[in-house]
Amino acid sequence: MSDALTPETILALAPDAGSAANARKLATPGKWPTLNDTGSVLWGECQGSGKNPYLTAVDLSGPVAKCSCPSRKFPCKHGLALLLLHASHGPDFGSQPAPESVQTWLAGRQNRAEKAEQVSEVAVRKEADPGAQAKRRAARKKKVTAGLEGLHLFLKDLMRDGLASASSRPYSDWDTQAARLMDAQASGAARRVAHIPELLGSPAALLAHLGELALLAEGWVNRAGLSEEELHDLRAALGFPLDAAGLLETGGIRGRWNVLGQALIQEEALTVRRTWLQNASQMALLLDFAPGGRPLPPGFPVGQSVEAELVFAPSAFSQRAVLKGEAGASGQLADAPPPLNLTELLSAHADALALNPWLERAAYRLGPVRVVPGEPWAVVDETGGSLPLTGDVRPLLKLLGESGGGAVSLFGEWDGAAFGVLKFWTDALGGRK
Amino acid sequence: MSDFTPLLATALVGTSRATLPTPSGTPLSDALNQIKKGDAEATLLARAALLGLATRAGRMPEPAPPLPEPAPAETLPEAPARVTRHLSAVLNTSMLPEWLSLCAAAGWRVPPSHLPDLLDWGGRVNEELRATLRPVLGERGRWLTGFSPEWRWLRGLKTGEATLDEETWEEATEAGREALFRALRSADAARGRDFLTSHFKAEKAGVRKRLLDVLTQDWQPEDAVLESLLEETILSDRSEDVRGQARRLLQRLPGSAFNSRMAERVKAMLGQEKVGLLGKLTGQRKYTLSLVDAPDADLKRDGLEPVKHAAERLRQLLSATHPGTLMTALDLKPAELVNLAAQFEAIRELTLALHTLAHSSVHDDECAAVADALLPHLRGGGPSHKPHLSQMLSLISSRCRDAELQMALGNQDAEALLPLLRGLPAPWPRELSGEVLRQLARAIRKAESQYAYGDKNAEWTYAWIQILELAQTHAAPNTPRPPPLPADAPEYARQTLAVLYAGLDLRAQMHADFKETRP
Repeated sequence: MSDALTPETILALAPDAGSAANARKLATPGKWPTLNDTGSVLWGECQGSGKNPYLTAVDLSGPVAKCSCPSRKFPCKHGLALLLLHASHGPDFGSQPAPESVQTWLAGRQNRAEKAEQVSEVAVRKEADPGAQAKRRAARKKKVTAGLEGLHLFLKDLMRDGLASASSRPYSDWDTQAARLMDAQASGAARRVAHIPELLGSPAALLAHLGELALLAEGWVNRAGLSEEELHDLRAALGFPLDAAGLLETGGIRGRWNVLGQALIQEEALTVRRTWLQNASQMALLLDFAPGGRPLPPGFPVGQSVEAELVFAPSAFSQRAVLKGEAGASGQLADAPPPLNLTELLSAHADALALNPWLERAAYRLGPVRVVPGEPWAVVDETGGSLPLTGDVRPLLKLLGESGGGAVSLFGEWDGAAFGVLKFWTDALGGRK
Repeated sequence: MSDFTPLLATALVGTSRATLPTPSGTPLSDALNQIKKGDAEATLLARAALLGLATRAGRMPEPAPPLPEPAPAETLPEAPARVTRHLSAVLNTSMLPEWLSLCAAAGWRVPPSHLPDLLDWGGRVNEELRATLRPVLGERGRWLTGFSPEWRWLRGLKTGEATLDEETWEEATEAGREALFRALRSADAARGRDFLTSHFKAEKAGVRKRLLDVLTQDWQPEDAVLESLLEETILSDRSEDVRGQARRLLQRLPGSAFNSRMAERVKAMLGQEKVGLLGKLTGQRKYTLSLVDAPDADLKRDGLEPVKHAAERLRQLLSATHPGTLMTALDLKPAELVNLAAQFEAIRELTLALHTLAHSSVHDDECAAVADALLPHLRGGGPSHKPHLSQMLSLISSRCRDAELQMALGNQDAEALLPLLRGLPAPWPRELSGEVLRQLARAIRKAESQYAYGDKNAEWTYAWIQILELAQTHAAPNTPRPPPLPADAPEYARQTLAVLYAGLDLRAQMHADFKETRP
């Protein structure tokens, strides 16, 4: 089953770009005096900068790595390099049993599920002070209400003066308004206001964007009329944090999830990773954040499937989810619904917007489609329709190189304006429909 | 959109100056008319929200742009996984060209997934290395270059296509024309020469220089037919750069009129002193020099500046003439030519002439013999001759090189060893490789870093570091390793050697894999 791990999949597990690059450099047999494959575990010794080589092991069922190097990244470059070497030089591995320290780690991993439950119980107990919590919630509501009232006044003011004069306003106007919303703990609204200056050049898009902001403000005033799910979506759009701890107390959907794509976004001083999983017709979005320079939690093997339990955040259009426990038992991709053409994508997205008007993006699998280079690049389906592509051109050139201009299936994010490719298959989803 | 435009018009001038439009007869008009808020601004915003969402949800695909031509079918088989597994390890290292050459020799092309990385590498390296990449790109690779401006360097002729259409040529940039000419030349050298003859004069100076650059880098004996073009160039080209380049190309042609004119000038200014009996017996000759008074109309064309002293003129001539032509015209042996140069302090000029011929196929045994004879003079010439000595060491005859190598290895003289090794093709013989590794291990054994140049590091000089880099790609990969360093050797020394050996192991594995899977 680990045979299906491609270098691309392995590098998707990296906690940051540096680890991936260093792992590539280390993945040559000359740097590894010992290399062994016991069937379920890879282990080896890598000559590092110290006198003694590092002992590195990978439990293939995860895949999860352990290493004696001092790095706090997880998996470290040695673990990734060991996986890469196994992919390219598998037959050269010996079959010596793993040393004791690795055995101990493996045994420890098996008990870990129970431990994890105990830990989360402790964490929940720490939080529990209902009185203080209710007080904090009430204070937050008050702040948000005041902030959004200010926003609505600001928007009406803009409308009275006309958008033609909006571009002559000083930048500090937008910044101040965004900062006010930030102070009012409505970070989602603040982010949308901060986006306004980028739209000043295209009045139509600007008006639609301002309308959306007004809808946020009015939605909050009229929230009593919303269903519980709709209210959650509004709160999420405003920037209320997800109660992940609370979610983890409830039961999730356990099953085999296809890991279809991963996007890594560098925001100022924050790395955001979006991982898209799919099980039957359900798409799940996992979000991970790491403040500047810190590594992300271990990633998922993109292009493989994993056994995992996911708990979905309440929403009219379920998408955002959190992982309960640990994902494991990676293997081939499981069956998936057939890919969409472009009209079907837009129609599915319209349905999603009808449920959650704040939805910023959703992910879809397209096919059979072709990509066309240009400014911007475009994706074209067999009915002759096309949509613009977004993102770095480099992966698109790789796609074009591998497909030779032929049909592919794509997985990626649609944000209402352009499609961002996260993964592609030149055959039908790794050999099957 | 029909509802959005009037709403946007109002929004642009502001509700203080315009009234809200009243939609009617459109699919959304009823829904829009139902939205009424306390003031016009709030109504406008709410209607904009509805229309914005409706636009997003109602979006339809756009008509497709024309699809690119699909990639042509491949003519070469794809390299098997057994060998391509090394590709990511050698990518962007000095070992990549060797992998590419092995792949080309096997008649394979690289898998398409590696193309973007390789094309990027090709964009960064020089023409010599690019030449190792071209044969393994396959049809897919050549097709793919059409989609990124950064890969334009590779765009040019299609396989088997040996004509250049005027339109492509007219549209190409200066660098593009150089690439096109290079491609045409490698596809069909004779056609390339015809093309050069017919187009050269019409080009701008920048392009003319680039075209001659191509000739300089890849001179072939058949290029002798270009002599009349080059003669015309040195007579009438407006750029001194281009004229100089053409002269250096003519110098490479032993039988060129240019070289004969130069040799005639040397002959005319030389006289011989009488030597005694001992001199006659030992074959000594002593020369006298005199400046020729007769007017020489070609001086300027041949790049000769006016001089005051005869020796100065001789030095000019020696640096600009093919030594082979000189030896024939003056009936001199290589050692005698070197003695003539030595008598008039023209050793450096003679090395310069040899250097001009280097890296071209015209460098022959005769020139190598001159280089051999120059060595003792350069060695005795003090530090200012050092760079010339290095140049000559890479040009000497193979017999002389073997002796020099033994001497340099025996003296553990890295400065002499480096140019000698550079003159050798890869891979070096096993025995030599083993000796170089042993010497490297000896030189590095006390080194604590690449830079600390102190008591402990004294032996680990920059020349050794360069030899180490060269050994990485040029030593025979299966060379036996010297005994390990002592346990107390510094970390840097152990690590550096470990990296070298790991690289050699990788190359050995690479060679073995290619050998086993080769058709």
